[in-house]
Amino acid sequence: MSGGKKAIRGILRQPALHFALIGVAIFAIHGWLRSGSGAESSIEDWRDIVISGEFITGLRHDHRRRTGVDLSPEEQTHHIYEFVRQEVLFREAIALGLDRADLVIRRRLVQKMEFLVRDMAGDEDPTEAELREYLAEHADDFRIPANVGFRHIFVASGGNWQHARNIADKLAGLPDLGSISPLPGDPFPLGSEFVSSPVSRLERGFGSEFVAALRALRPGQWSRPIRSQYGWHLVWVTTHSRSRLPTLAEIRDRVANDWRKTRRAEAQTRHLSDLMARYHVRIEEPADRPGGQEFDRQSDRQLNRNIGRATALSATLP
Amino acid sequence: MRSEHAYFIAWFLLISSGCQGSDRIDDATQPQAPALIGAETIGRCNHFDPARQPLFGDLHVHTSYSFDAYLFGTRNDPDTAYEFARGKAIGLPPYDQDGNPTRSAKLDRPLDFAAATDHSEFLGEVSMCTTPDAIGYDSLTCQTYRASPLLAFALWGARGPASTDPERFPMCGVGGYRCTSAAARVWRESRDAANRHYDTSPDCAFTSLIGYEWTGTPGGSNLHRNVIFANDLVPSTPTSYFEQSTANGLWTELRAQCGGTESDHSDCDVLAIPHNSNASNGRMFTPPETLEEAELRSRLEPLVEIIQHKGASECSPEFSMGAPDELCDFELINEDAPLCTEPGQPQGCRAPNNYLRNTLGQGLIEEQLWGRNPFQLGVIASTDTHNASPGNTAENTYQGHVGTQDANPNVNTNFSPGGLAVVWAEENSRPAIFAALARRETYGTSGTRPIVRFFAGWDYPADLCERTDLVEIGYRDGVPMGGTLPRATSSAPSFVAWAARDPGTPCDSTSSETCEPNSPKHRGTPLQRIQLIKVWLEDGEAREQVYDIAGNPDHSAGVDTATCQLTGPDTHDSLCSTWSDPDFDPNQPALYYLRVLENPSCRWQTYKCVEAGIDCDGYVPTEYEFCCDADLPATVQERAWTSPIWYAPQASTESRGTR
Repeated sequence: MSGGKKAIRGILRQPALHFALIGVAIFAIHGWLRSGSGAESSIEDWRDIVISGEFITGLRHDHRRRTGVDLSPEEQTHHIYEFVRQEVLFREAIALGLDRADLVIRRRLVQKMEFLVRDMAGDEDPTEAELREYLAEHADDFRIPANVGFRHIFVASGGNWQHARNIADKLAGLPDLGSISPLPGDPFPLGSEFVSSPVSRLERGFGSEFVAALRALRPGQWSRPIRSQYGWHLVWVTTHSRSRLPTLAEIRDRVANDWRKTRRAEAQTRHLSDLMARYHVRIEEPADRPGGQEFDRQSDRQLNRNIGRATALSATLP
Repeated sequence: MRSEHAYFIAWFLLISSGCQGSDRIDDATQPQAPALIGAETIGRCNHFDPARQPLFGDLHVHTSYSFDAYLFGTRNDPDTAYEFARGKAIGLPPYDQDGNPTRSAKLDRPLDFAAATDHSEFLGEVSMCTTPDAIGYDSLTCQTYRASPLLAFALWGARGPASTDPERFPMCGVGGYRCTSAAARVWRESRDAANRHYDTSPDCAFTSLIGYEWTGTPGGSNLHRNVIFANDLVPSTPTSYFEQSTANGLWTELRAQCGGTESDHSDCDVLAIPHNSNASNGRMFTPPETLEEAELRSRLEPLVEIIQHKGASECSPEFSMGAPDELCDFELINEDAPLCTEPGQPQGCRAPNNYLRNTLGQGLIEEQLWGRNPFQLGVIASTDTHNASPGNTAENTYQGHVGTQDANPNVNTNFSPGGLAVVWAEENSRPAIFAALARRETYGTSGTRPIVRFFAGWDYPADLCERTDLVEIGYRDGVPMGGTLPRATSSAPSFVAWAARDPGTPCDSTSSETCEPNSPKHRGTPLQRIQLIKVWLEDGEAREQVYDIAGNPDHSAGVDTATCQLTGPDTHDSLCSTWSDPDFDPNQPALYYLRVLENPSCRWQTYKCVEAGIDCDGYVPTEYEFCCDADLPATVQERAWTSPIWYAPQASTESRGTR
């Protein structure tokens, strides 16, 4: 990436700029609506409708792309006429302020605005430094847990502590399992050897107390009996590895994905509060409505009943 | 950033009714992805174990991409679902006026694997109705969808999945292409989310599988299937009930798209997992009518979902094929479907083959007819969450699975947190998990995490339970769960069943909450017993027999429903038993599966009532009316069901149990 591009990217990430861009975008959309979505007409002159060459090229191009044949002159005239007709009605509707009175349009514009804010925040690519910083700040989300590798001899809890201790005494002097086959003890269907396994996984399988004891063991010797939820274990630890934070190179995609998500959410909140800050809101006391509280509770119950009915239906569907 | 020109074209398309958009995605089946995401072989992971390990997952998960989940207020997408599966906290609906979730959820134990399986029906429509610039956004259909969720749910359901003659909305254009091309885009996003969360490093911490749900519900009969792919080589559009309105049609299409040497992509593989046969009015497992159908079925449907939040489908006391089995009465939702179309029958629309055990018996009968068993079904379980919260099965934190619909616990009191799918795989990767699913080396649980192994063979030593090489011998001299016994080499097969309790929740050292290792929340529940269920064919009729083969049903361990503390002797951290069939007849086809039962523990509503201190003799707030519903069981016996092991007279290992 060139230095110039980097600088531009840096600027693009300034919240103040985003705000300014949104301002520009609002203005542009406004102008675009007024000017009839790309047909070249000046904003000043409300009653000029200009069908530009670009419009016609676009029309032809799109027609060919969709149908594989060229637009006939008759069709072209028809499309232009139709466009002009709608454009006239559209401008008249705006002039009459119909857009402000219609709830559907209002909701639609609100949603468009929300999308605009979201898109503004979502198109950035993080820099190396930003990813590094994000990784450092959210280390817990990415940390590779400590690993332990071990072999063990299992004594089921139906057997007893004394039995486990007897085996432990026999093992005490031995360097490793060596040539003992089959192993003493009871079968343990998760296996007798655990190659380097994440502590979190072992905790799910054996419980946290067992794993805490396991982590305290020195490698290369037989332990005394350790209790798990299944029974007693005599353990020979082969490897310990510490918990570590992977390098950025190892998990770049995941970090970038999370970075974008976080950034988008932050930017949305920020943009919204910036916009809200520009308005003065005054909330007035409502005219007294006796029984208002009661009414609300009533409708809650009604809603619950409706949910109940819909649920009976839903049992057959999803 | 789109050019003004593009804006203009979009605007033009919007105002010119009758003009058709050209947004069909010509998506090649061959993806642009690293080789590892596509066809991949086993052996990548550090924790690779040839003796196989149990991996816990959820293969039935809905997100905001599902038309119903969105209507129920869910706004979590597949990306969020996978984050949840890996242990992150997520928000749940309802959302407040600032758009912040008012509830949250977090797994105390992450999952090993998960699949987001959104309804393929309306995948495109939902996107069109919720994206302001999309074609169709302004249609009446979409306006209703946004404004009246309950009405839209009924209308959309009636026109699509629940109709016998499903029809797309007019906004989908001729042949529905607008909606299918929008669906292709959403499907791509779902795949991308899955691929992002697939750990392709040697740590293999998490596996996502790509899938969707086909949602045929003709006349209210639930015929739903989850379609699960082996890897990222998948069709460019998911098949919905609009394209294929029968299960047979779905299988045929899947087979043509993907599934072996006949298709264009030999590395592509797929299976379909039926669920909620309990609500199918007897139609989920109708006997095949042609040999081709029997073949397709046995090839594409090796598994069934035995429990999920809308009830269990193992067996019903009503349709026993032998002595009564009271333990069948577990999370059953027995009412006839509201849209049941065959009233007047003795059991309304409930039918024997709504249940797995009867269907397994029917499979033995069908095998006599067709030479192959169309119902050779292994077992998994899942949640069917509509909150994008895979694996959220803990009774003590249950908060419903259908968004705002059952955020109020008084609704859906007969629903449950659903279950988990467990596979015995060499490692946590797509090829290892898919292979385990395909060979049925799987079991399902009602939501807890006991560990269960099950082998059958002809010559197992009698002291197998005392031998530390149990697993090695189990594989070497026999078959694991999901398999078929090889040709007989002795007079009767022997079985070894081994189960270990759920070890409980690891204490969270980062949480401020004090962790008491002995609290029921962290301990898990000890085992009560292992049962072996035999289903066999005798004089052309299917029969069943339940054997207690380990543990003790009569010990006094239980739970105090006033506190949810476990009481009585702390029995059975693990159980092991070898068992030989005393009534084995080599001429009778048969199958055997395990049901492993925990001691009783509190059902989800009891936890809520204990926490709120509800006393049914005193004042009960309206929102806690469910606490005093005498029809609800206060306790449950959480359990695991294994895939069966089959025996066929004169079986040869080559031609059976393989795909």
